[in-house]
Amino acid sequence: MPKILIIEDEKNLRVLYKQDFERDGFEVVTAASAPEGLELVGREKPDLVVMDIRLPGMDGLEAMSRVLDRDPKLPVVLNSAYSSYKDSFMSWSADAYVVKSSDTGELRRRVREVLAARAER
Amino acid sequence: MGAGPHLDEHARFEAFFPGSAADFLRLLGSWSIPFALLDAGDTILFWNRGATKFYGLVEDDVLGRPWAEVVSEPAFVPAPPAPGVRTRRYETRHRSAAGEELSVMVTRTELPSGDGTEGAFVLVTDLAEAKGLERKLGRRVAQLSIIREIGECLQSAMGLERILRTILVGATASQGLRFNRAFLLLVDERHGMLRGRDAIGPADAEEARRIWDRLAAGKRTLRDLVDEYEPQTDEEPKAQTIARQLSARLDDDTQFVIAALRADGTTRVVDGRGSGDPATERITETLGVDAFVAVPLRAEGRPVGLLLADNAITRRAITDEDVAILELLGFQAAQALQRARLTEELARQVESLEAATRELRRNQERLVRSERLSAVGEMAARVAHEIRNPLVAIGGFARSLLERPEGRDPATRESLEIIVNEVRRLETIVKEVLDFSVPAPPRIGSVALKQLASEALELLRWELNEAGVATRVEEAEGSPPAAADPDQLFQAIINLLRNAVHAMPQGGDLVVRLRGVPHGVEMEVADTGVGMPPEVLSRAAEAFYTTKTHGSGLGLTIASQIARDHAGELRIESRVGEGTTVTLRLPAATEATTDA
Repeated sequence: MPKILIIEDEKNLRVLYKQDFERDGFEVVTAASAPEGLELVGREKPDLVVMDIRLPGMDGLEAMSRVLDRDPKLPVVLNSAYSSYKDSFMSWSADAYVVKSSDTGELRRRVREVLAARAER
Repeated sequence: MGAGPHLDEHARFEAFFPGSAADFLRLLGSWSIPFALLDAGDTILFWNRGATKFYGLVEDDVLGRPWAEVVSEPAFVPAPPAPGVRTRRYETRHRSAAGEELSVMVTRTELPSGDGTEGAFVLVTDLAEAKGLERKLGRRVAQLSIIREIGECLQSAMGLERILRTILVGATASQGLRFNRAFLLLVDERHGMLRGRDAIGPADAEEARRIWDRLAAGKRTLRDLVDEYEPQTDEEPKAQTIARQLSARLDDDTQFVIAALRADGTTRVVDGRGSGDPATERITETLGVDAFVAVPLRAEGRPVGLLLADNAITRRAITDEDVAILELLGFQAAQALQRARLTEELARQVESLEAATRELRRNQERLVRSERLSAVGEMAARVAHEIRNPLVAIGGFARSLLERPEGRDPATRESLEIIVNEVRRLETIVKEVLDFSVPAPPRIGSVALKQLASEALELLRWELNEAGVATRVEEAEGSPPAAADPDQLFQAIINLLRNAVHAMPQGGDLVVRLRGVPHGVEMEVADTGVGMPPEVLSRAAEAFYTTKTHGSGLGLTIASQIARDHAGELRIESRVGEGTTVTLRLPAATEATTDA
């Protein structure tokens, strides 16, 4: 069962994502901040990270680059309220970029795609 | 008094006039006005110096001879004086010793016969001279009143054309200086020319007669004439053609008009064709008349024009008086022209001041509008940001419930679907705000970046000065105009400049560089400010991210959004302590791009 780490500062969204991904059959761990998320990357060894770009304590993009420093192969899906970051070159190193929405269908689909693509390699 | 005849003379006086009357008569003896003293039989008793000179006869020739014979007076028919009136005055003709006929006025006073001796005192006035003087005086008075009238017209004349017309009508009208033709040339310093501006004058004797007859028909004032004067419209009058031909370059000293303009006083030409001076001969040819006069017009010591006049039709000689009066007119003309020039200059300055005020007001409105827009945008973005996550949670859980067994009940399902749909609607609105999606698409046109940058700098002039920031705009050769929406671009430039100013609280240099790149144009805004460390730089364009205690944190975000909307991009380079350079790349305007 693939393990997903969700780094999201909004408590209610953490609950929502956890419920939805668990229903999809994933194991889910959540972190409320970037430092906490980095710690869980090391401890939980997730198969994929879903993270916001704006996070307390650290810029989400910077957090992502630190994640990638630790494990360059770890897939990262950026989940942001801002579509404008889509074009940021920092975002290019993410495996997917999803604009935050109440419809989690897009996020869940991209997560499955990224994992499937990784599995093929 | 000497001896000889003078003693006799004295004795005669004493005999004729008792006491002080004789002294008076002796005084008259030295007068230049001719007079004589006659006895009861009209024999000459006394003959003064004036009479000697006037008739060419000395005292010795005439004393004791009859008066009428000496002066060749026709048979004198004395009108009987009214009782008590002893003086008669009559005009008659005398003859001098040389046989010259003299037109005179005789004033004859019968003297009282206190001691029984009768006689007469005869005073002679030279009418030729008196009439000449009177005529001269009359004419002088008339001319002075003409000058005064022209002066009044000039004073009230508004506008150059009216002044020119007044000068020319004044110089030529029968109520004026009565020259046949007048030409006015004005100095045009901007083009280095003395230009023939206007002229008045009949083309030939026939036209002259027609005009003068018409003018003589009514007793018009000079002002009426100026009002009525209508330049012919169908065909340019010959005089005006000549005026234009008289134009010359100010540095061309070989031209008569330039020499006359620079001359200390009036230049008079009497025999132009025979003058031997090539310049004079040339202008004589142009004017078609041998005698003319050119009065330079000076105001505050500077030559402003030249007034030329001639009597091309009547060929009447130009007298000293004509010249003197033309000079008076020239003096007034110069004053009026100077006044017109100053008025025009003033009007121009007022106009440019008004333009500057309009521009200032426009900029002010622009600034206020952009401030307000960014404030509104900031507020909307903050609100949108705050409600975004709660919306995601609400809608997300509603969807989540729909997928669970609880959501299978139709009534519950309907409620959940309503929540989902309404949240979706709200999310769309929030997304638009957060994306800073510009409501109207950019109105792309060809934009001169240098001008736009200069305008933006001008708008921020106060802030720049306050911060002690020196600015300059450098445009590489061949920098193309940008294809952009000038209003949006202006907003972006303002934001970049503001950031630069805020980065230089202790002053510094702000340079805007423009250069062409393949298919595009780049505007670089470089400051010598505090610079940004890498961690700040990476977030610089992020919405609401700011290191400043003031400002929205949206400046760069908006600028980069605008760049993207224009299919361009925004790059930021910065070094702490050295400064920041923001480069805005935009597509270049092509021939298909319309002017913005």
